[in-house]
Amino acid sequence: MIPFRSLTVRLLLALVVPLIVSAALIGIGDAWVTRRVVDYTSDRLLGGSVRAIAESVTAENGQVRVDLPPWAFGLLDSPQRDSVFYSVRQSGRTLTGYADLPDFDREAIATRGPVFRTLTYKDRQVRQSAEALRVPGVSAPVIISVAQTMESRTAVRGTLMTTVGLIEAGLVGLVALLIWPAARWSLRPLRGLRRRLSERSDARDPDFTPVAVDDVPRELQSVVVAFNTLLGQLERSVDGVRRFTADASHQIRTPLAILKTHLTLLARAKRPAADRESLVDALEAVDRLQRLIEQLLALARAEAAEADGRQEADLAACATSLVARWQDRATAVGKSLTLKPIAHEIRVALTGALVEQILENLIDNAVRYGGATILVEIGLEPNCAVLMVEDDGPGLPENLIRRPFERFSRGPHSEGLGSGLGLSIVKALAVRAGGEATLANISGSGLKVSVRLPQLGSAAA
Amino acid sequence: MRLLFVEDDKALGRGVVAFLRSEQFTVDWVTDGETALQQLAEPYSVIVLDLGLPDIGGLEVLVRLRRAGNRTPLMILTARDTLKDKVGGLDLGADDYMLKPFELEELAARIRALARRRGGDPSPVLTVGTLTVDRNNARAYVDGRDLELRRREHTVLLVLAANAGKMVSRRRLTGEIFGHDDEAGPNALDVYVGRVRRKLEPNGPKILTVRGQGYLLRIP
Repeated sequence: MIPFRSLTVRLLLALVVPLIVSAALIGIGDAWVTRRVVDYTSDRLLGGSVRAIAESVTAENGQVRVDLPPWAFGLLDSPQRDSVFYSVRQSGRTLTGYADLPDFDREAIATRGPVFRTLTYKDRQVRQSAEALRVPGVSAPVIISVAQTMESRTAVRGTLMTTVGLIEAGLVGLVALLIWPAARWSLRPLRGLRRRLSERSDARDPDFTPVAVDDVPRELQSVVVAFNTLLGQLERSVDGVRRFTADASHQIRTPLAILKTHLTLLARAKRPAADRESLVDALEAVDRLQRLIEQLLALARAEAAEADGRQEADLAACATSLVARWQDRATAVGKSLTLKPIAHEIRVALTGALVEQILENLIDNAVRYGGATILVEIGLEPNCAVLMVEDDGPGLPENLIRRPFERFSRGPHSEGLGSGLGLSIVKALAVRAGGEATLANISGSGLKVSVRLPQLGSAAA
Repeated sequence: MRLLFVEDDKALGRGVVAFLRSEQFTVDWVTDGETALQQLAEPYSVIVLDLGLPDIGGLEVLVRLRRAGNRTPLMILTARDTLKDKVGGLDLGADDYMLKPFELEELAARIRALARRRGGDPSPVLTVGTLTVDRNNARAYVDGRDLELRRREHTVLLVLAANAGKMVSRRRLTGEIFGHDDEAGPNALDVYVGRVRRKLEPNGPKILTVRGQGYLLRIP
């Protein structure tokens, strides 16, 4: 079992998941760059304010003076209103500013230019910058140091990261939305192929011609070629079955003819009564075999769907002619056969020969096993024609009511020519035409066989 | 009535030939196509042909026979039951098509029907004056009196009656009543004609002899 069996979903996942992963990687890179850029600019501002203080340092008679300009901390103004601390020191002595601001004089003196560090001061994280200033006429360098809390940096970084994140999420969403129709578009040839194949399997007569490979996507060509190979094998085996029925019938007909010929010859001569009876029994058995072969062939041909002629017949006309044809045979065995009159034609989707075969089997069964009164009736139900043959005979035991449609099942007291195939032929033909065959005991006594066949539009149409 | 029966199955052939002989037919039975084609000079009334022959197929035999100008009525007797086979056989020049297994009575009736049609007269009974010859049950009557003819006698009378007033050659009559398997001396035909002539007396039509050439049934 494959997870995600829809190709569209698979395509979508295969494209969107890597997209999300790369968006995340880009996000991490962005965060790193953003942090670098924000730190760099903020540090430059911090350094700028150190510089501004340094500009105001003067020396008079070896004494250092600091005139803090009012704009010295303006550079550090921000909407977050960071706290700013400063100190000016010389040789470990605070000249002005916060005396407890931790110093890193030694690092500042060792470096030309500003130095920076991050530390905790008054329980808050601060960024501190310091610069050593050598004032002419003063022996020890003056160390200027400014520290600032981190609120504005964090805020700027947050704003930048949110913006970048939103843009990336928007992009991923947009691409995903565009991939959906793209995936469906790419899979459209697949749907076309599927439609063509399903049209075939819906067709009543199997079509074994290979599927054209030229107008199939290249990726599917091997599948279609495999499918065509399978079709070929199927066609050969269906052919084999058809040939087998033809061969079998041919092979069986000749020995039957031999049996029948010699038995007939023997029966013609004068013989003791017992011998004659045996011969008559043997001849009847041959007739039964012959009928069985013919029924088997009819069944095989119905199932193999030999498409010959128009798939259309008038049920009413077929019933009328068949009932007329069977009248004598019914009378001969003391049964009455009637057809309930029908005024209009009822067209069904089956060849006339097959409709007659259905009717013939049903009437034959009724005459053979049914009661004295046989009624053939044709009616209409929505979209289908119903053919009913009922008799007032003993009916069938309930446990057998489903079995007559099975091959070779014969009723409890059947004797004579019945092959046990009649009803299964009826059912096979009805099902092939898209209909059904049902069997029911009539309350009281009798049996009713109903065959429903798809109707081809009403007589008025 | 003489017919050619082409059937390769020995068991079926024996049965059918026995039956047809009992039905007053003179039957030549061959079991392959080549032999069948060699028999074409014989004056058969009907040919019964199986399709599945060992050497050349029955349809091929039929085609060659018709191409050679042979117009003898021909019935295909076969186990091939598809519509295609039936239509193909009839279209190639067969006059009837019968499926195995078959009822022997029906086979005989169809053969008789084919023979009648060949003579251009499809009626089952021939009448010449007081004489009526029944084609179907091998009987003949003069004024209602059954002549009680044997098989060959009936054939002789039937051929003469069908050509009443015209001379029928000895060769033709011999061909009609004797099959290949029959040992027939030069005077055998005269013996049969003599018997028929006697049975027609006193009030039936007369059979005249055209010395050395044939016989003629005179129309009264």
